[in-house]
Amino acid sequence: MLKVVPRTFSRLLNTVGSKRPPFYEVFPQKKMVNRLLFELDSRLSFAKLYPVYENIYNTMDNPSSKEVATTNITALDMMTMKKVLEKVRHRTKSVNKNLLALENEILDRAAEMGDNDAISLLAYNVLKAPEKNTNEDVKYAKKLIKELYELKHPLTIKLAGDLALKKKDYTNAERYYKEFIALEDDTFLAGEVYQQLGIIYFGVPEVAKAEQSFLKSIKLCPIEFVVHSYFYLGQIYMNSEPLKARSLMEGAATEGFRESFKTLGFLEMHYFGELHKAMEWFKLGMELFEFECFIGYFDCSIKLKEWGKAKKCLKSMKLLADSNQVYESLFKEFVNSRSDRIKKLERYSTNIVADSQQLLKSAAYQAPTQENTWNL
Amino acid sequence: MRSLPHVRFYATTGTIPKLIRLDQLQDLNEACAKNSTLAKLRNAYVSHRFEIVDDSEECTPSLNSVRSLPMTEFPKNKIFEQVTMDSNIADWRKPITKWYRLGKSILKSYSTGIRAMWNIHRDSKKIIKKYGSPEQLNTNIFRTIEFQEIEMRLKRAEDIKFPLSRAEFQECHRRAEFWKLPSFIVLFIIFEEMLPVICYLAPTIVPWNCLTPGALKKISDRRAIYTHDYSVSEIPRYQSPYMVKPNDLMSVLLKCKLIPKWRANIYKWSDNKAKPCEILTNFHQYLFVDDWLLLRHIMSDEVTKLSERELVNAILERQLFKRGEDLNTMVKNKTSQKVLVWRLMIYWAFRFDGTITASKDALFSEKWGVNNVAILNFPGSAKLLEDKQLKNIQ
Repeated sequence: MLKVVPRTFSRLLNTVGSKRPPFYEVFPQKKMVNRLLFELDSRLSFAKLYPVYENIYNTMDNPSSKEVATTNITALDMMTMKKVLEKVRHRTKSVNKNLLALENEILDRAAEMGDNDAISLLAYNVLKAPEKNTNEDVKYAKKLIKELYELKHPLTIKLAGDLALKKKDYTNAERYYKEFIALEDDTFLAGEVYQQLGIIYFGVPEVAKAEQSFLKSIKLCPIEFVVHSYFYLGQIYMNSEPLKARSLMEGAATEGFRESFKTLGFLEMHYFGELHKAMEWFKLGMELFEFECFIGYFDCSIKLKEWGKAKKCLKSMKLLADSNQVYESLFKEFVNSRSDRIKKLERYSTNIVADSQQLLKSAAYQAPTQENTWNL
Repeated sequence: MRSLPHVRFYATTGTIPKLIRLDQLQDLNEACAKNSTLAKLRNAYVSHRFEIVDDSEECTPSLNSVRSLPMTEFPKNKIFEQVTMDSNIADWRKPITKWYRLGKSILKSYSTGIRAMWNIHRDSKKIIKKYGSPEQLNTNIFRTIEFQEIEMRLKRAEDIKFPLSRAEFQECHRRAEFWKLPSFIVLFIIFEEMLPVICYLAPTIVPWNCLTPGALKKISDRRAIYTHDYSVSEIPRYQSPYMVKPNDLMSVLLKCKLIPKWRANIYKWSDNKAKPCEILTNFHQYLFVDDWLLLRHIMSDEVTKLSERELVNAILERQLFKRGEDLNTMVKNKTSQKVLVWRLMIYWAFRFDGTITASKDALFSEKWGVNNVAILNFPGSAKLLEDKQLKNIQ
């Protein structure tokens, strides 16, 4: 039965199912894996690694047969296999629980084989959520990390920075990241570190330093790993080079970065005067229930005299406002500031869904705040 | 998600000042009460912390680049008077000597100008190499100012470090005139003593610092855009370079001499919309940086001595004059010079009041919107100030 169901649907079924599905249904396509192996400069080919993957997958729930799975494979190969699965997650922007389990299993085995990266990752996983682990595990993880740190293991230093950043200890995070950069500054990982450094500087704010860090980050890393850098750089260039900012924001949007849709929409609408393009961006944002995108879409529709679209948008906004208190206050402000346009909409549309008079009455006047960009 | 506080501003949102009216002294006092920037500028000008000096006096070296600007006074009268007064020259020789000396003086000014342009090109090479091009320099400096103002606002820091002096910045901008030198030298060799006449007829072929006042008048007449007075409530609406109508955009670019006519035609023919918009954006950024540098100096405790040449150039670039006005004659007359200074101060006060540059909290882009070219050459006052009004407000 499953064989006639397209592969993606069968995968979807597998992610929600309780029993582990056959390996060939879960594993990504050969073409994709081959490409990733090439990118990662793998020592072994797909043909050699596939049986290993399959073996580990099939023996995941059976610890006694672990040795068989990893014969002739080094710890480095195991980490390459893990990275392939990690990249698949990033590229497809989806998580298959079986593949994730396989990835974790490979990581475990790499650590058992003595790979420092794997040990470091596992130790930090324990430290990230100490409450979910025993005291003994936490103590042992700390010991391992200390040893790796003394060895100046780059990934350990980077992860120390990540942990400090998570705890909002920006000074130490910056120190660890700089330490990492001193060890390696031309790898993918360095790209990620530059991104984190950029975010720290952006918050201080030291905008010039942040700009430099983000620029280095996008130079070193593919977009899917440093999408924040694209977004922040877009913001940095918004006033001085809107053209550059647009292309950076578009980069972030192609990776599905939520905040980029409204920024792009308003940039197209107010700066470039491209109302149709703006509407497309707003539409994407509306799918993610970004309220400001609804406002932008409404304004574009009115400007383009597309009354039907404006009417539908107003109806959707009303529904959203009814279901959410934050949106409700925003909606009131919106109705107050757009009263003339809503009236206009009524004039041109005989069957207006939202009763504009009622809307206008219900929304008590509030002066627009300073931060309120579009006179909401 | 953190974001820069200004990023969401694309249109004018803050409190926009009303246009400044200066018909009577009371108007000026009212304007100063409402507009603290105007009050500060007025104070600096009245107390001589900001003054205009002629070529014989020493101006602030970090602000002025006199060698890159044209003369403000044609030496004819001075030379003629000298010859007339010279008793060593026989009367019958005087008419010929007058014209000979005048010709010699003009040719000397040309050669000085050519040498100065060569030196400017050489001196600014290092800076341009660092930034890429004069256009990139404008954008980079614009961004540097923005970054530092954001940091200043959030950290409440006092000082803004600036990588260049205004004189260096201006020389980087004016170095483009260097490329007129080859054709100018060729004309110099061909026409020799007839060159001043050629230059008068076609002033655009002359490097900027070799222009005579007559030629500059011709150019300024072509660049004049002020056509009518405004009502007090008539504030220009936000307009990004991309929102300007293509014909208007080209007309502005040609009037400001930002592109030659043939290039405008190429853009039209190839339907290239982005490039002209970017050129206008760049010019907007250049004016902002120049205003910012001058304003910061005037607002500081230091004495600002701006040369007459710089004043004329500033008025010309910002188009704060009417067709027919001879800026060089005006700058030499004390009353008219004051008119020019007041025009500039009103322009600055209108643009910068309430911004961080003039010690308040908003960035320039927050006050006016991103690259708002609607205020590019906007005088800031209902009428362009004239001698008559100046008498009333003094």
